Amino acid sequence: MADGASAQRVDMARALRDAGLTAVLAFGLLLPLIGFLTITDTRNNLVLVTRWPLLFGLVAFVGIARFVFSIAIAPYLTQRRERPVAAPSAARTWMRKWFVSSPIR
Amino acid sequence: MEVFLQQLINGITLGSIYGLIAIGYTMVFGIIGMVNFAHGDVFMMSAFIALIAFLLLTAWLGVSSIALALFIVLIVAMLFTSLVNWVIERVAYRPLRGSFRLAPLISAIGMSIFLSNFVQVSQGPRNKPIPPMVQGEFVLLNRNDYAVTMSVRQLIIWGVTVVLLAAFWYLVAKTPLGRAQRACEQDQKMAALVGVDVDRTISMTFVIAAALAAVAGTMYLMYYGVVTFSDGFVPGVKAFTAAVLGGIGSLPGAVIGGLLIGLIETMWSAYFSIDYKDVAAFSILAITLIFLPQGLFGRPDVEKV
Repeated sequence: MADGASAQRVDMARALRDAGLTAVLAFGLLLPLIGFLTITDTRNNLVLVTRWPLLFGLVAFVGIARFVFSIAIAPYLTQRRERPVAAPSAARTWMRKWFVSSPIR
Repeated sequence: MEVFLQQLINGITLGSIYGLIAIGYTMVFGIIGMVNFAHGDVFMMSAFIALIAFLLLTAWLGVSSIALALFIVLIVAMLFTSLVNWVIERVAYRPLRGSFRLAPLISAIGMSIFLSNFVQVSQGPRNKPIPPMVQGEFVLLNRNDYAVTMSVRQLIIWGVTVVLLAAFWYLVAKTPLGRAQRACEQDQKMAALVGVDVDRTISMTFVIAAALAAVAGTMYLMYYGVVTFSDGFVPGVKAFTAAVLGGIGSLPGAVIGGLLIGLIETMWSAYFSIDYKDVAAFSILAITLIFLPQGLFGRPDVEKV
């Protein structure tokens, strides 16, 4: 029980660290093109305006999405991979003979 | 003669830009056997990053020295573009490495469309003109009322290209990373068996290709003074043509191919028709593929039995 709780804590810490790293990476990726917008002003000069709320909103979204993936979706996918493969249903076996698979090269 | 000299200067300048982009195509093809069709759009994105960095430095931070601003812009564009290409490799290409041969190619085309649309949506579809970053020119020859000139911008492009190619040659020929790249190019499995970190080497190849594309993007912005979201496609395909002409997979071939495409394009524009300059450049691609599929410096593909 104690081991399980410890493993869960470690997973949570790792999920938080991954989410933080992903958010930092997203910040670096989005800073030039989302953080700044180039527009032409009334004197026909190209000027920069900032879009900090959009930038930080997207960075937060990416970080949260990564956190949710780490704590909820990734364990589910691992669990599904480890589950023994069930035998195909009778209907599926019957259908299979009509569809010959061909590899794409 | 004067017109020819002027077009020679213009052609070498344009060819230097194509050559820098072509190295990215040829390096990635050499190491993972995939044509990275998103590379042209990485080049376009780097030009946008350079544009934003230039405006930030000159209009916001008040940097008045153009040389310093250009140097910082170059470094910033290289850093951010490398990060973009590193992420592209991790997200779009690495998961497909063991997949069927067309999968990464389709992914690259998708990534190209994504990058182009991302820039269109995030920065708008209009042209982004900036005032000339660098001005001034030298008159090399003045005869028959025709002055052959070379601008400071062209001189910078030549100089930066030569210095970068020398540094790049040193990196590939003399450093452990270059050795790892050459090993992965020959046989990835064998390279892994002798201790080469194949994933890291491939990532670094994408980073270097992006850094060179960023230099090309910054030079393109400085030379033409305008960039738009669709600027990745045509220069990208021309650089690909240069890589094919030089022999895809050959690094000197990419540079020579770039210079040849640049020269063919400018000479065609000067002596025939400027409207058909793209037709001339792309005809070279078709002719090379038909009559010289391995290119000028490429090795013929030998099937191992």
